[in-house]
Amino acid sequence: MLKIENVSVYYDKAIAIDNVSIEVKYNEAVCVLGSNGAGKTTLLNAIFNVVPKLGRVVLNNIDITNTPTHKIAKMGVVYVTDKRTVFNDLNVYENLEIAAFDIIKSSGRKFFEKNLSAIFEHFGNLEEKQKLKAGYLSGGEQQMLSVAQGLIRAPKLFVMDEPTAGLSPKLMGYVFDIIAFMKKQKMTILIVEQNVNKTLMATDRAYIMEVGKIKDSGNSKDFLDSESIKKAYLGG
Amino acid sequence: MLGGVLGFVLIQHSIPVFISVIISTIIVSIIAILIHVTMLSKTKNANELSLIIMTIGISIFLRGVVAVVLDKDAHPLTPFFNFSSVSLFGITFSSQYIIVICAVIIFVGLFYFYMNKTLPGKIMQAVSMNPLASKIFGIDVNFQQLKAFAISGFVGSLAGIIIAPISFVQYDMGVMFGLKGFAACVVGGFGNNTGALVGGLIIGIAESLSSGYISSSYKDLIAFVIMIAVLFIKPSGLFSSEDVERV
Repeated sequence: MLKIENVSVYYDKAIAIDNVSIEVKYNEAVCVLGSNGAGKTTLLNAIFNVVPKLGRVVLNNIDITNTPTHKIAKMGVVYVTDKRTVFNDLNVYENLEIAAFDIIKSSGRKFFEKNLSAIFEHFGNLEEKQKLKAGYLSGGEQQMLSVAQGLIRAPKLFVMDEPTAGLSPKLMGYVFDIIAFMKKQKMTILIVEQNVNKTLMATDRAYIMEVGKIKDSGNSKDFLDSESIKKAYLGG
Repeated sequence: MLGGVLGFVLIQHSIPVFISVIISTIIVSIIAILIHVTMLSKTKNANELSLIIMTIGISIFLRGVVAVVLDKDAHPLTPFFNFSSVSLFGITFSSQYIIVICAVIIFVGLFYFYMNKTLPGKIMQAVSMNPLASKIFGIDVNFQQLKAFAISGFVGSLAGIIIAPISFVQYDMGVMFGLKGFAACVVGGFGNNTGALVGGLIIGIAESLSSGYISSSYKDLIAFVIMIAVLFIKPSGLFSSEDVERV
C-alpha cells in the first residue's frame, strides 16, 4: 500500500534521515521505533511532503513523491502529527467538521452526522464537549480529538506520530484500544511511538531506527525484549 | 487607496457611481490576487514578520505609482446621494456617512455569518489557526490564502471608494486609515472581528469628542494614545479571550 524508497532528508547540511526504505502492506499495522532524534517524525513528515526530501514515495502504486500534502490527504490517508491537529478557537464539533470537510462536500451532511455518531460511541467525552472550544480541552482530550478527526475521514491508511505522548497511563491504554479497533476495521496503520512494548503488542511489523537509519526490521512480537530495541533506546 | 483612486477616475469619466464601485472593487481584488501569486506566495522561508514588511513595501510602491500616474493633490469627490448633508437629532453630517454606516453594518454582518456559520468560512479560520493541520485534512491552504487576499482587496477597495467623498482622494489616503485600523484591532483584540469594530467605534468617538472638547489639532493623537493605553492595561485587547496552550 505504502512504499518509501531510499528517502533522505537534510536540514541544511545535517542529515536527518539517510536512505530509508520501508513498506506498509494492506491491512497491516506497522510501527517505527527509535529513541529521540532517530528521525521517526522526519520520516513521516517526508512521506507527507511537510519537509523536502530525496527518494521516492509510492501510495497504492501512485507516485506521491512530489504530491502536495492536501492532495495526499484526499487519497484516503490521514496523518495525526505529534503537534496535534486541533484548531484551538473552533469548538469540538467544528474541528470534526473541518477534518471531514471534503466528505461533507461529496457525501452530504447526513453522512457526516452518521459518521459522527459512530465516532462519539468511542469518544463519549468529546460528545459532551461538542460546543467547547478545542483550546479549552485538556491535553489528553485534544489528543483524542486529533485521533477522532483522523477517524472521521474513514481513511484507508492511518499514520500516527506518537499518539500517546504526554498522556496519562489510562488515556494511553485508551489510545491502544482505539488502535485495536482500527485494526478490526481493516485499517492499515503506520505508527511512530515511544511506548515500545505496547506498540509492539499492537502492531504486526516493526522497523527500528537509529540516527536516521533503519537498523532492523521484522515481526513486532519478535522484538519484545530484543537486543536491537535495547540498543536503539539505550545505545551501545 | 487604490479603490478610492480607481473609483474617482471612473466617476470623473462619467461612469455611474454604482458601476464605478463594482469595477474598482473587481480590479483591486484582481491586483490583490496577483500580489499574492507573484510575490507573497513565492517568498522563501516566509514568516509573518517578513510578509508584513513585504506588504508594507508593496503599499509604498503602489502609492508611488499612483503619485506618478495621477498626482499628489487631494481631489474632492461629491457624495453618492443627490443631497449632500443630513440633519438628524440636531446633528448635521455628510450624506456619505449613511452609506459608510450601512456598508459597515451589512459587511460586518455578512462576514460574521460567512466566517462563523458557513463551512467555507470556518475552513478559512482553520487555515489561519493551524495551516499544517489544514493541509493534512485536505485543505488547499494556498487557495484559502488567495481567497483571503481577494476578499481583503474587495473590502479595502470598497472602503476606499465609499470613504473618498469624506476624506478626499489622494495617493496616500490609505495610510492614516491603515494605522487607525491597526490601532482599532489592537484595542479590540487581534483576530476578533467584532472587537476590531468596537475598537474602531471607541477610537472614532474619542477622536470626535477630543476635537470638540480639546482641539482638533490633537485628533490623530487620540487613536494612538488609546492604543498605547490598551497595550498597557490589557495587551491582548479589550475583547480578546485568554489563549490557552495545552501541553
